[in-house]
Amino acid sequence: MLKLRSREEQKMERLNLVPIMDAVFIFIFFLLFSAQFIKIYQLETQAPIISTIPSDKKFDKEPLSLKVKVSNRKIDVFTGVISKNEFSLYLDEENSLNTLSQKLLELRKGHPDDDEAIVAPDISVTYKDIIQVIEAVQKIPDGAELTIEKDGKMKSLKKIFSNVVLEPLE
Amino acid sequence: MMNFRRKRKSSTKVEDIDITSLLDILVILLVFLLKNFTDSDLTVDMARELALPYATQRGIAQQGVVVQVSSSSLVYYNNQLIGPLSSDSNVNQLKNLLNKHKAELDTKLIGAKKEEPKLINLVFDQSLTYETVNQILTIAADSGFGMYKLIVQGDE
Repeated sequence: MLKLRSREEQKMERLNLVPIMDAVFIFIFFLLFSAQFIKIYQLETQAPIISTIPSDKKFDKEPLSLKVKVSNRKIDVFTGVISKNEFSLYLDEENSLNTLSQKLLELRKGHPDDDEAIVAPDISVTYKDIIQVIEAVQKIPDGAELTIEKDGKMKSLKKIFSNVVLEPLE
Repeated sequence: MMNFRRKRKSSTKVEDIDITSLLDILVILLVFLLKNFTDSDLTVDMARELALPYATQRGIAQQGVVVQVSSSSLVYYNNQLIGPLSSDSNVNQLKNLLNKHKAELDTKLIGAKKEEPKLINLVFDQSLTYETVNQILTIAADSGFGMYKLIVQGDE
């Protein structure tokens, strides 16, 4: 008799899984309805704005005025109010976009107040190439950091140039 | 007679269903759906013949007016087909729709006493040239949408 009791005590009762099944089903329906199987993200650009600077205004340092011209498989980077060609790259070259990011990062370090870059694609440039260039202009290369001094404080930035303006065609 | 009744009762007794395998499937489905879940509040019904370019940046897409242009230059406004971009009437229709939407936004913002930049989500096929892209950007800028959100596909 004693043996029988101990066996009965040892026998595990079955779990009631019905409530958890209900919860899982509701959760699955919610996820199925809200699911988007293509992960979409955004790249932010702005429309160009024309503004006039008073002629008597003097700058402590010449503004960077960065312009990235994208023509058929070629990238030309210009700086300065009177455009000066800094460097050129070919999209077909290996790691050309990474090189572009590295060089732009160095330029940005020298101009902590200039956060704007103009991307000027040629009429025949594909949208895919434009996106790649915009990303290279914004993205800090892997392993690199961008810290600038602003108002006496060191500030770590997430993008090389956060304001990207697409230049309209003439 | 009694024996017969007893036999019928025992044959109708329902056995417990083994739901272990069903539970396994549900767990796998749950993990798959959770992995694909994005917190973006923008949903886009992608048009046919539209392949998005890839990007590694992860800017969460925001809700706003959506303009799509497919590889054959067909324009969609908020998932509704307008027509080919080469036609002037379609361009004018897009302009009118954007102007109307901008006016609605302005009314809302005046009511809420807010000033926000008007954003437009632009979904372009990756093979389109800048000539087509520029045409849409100009229409958007003329209608008062100064912030372009270029929709891209996440690079896995």
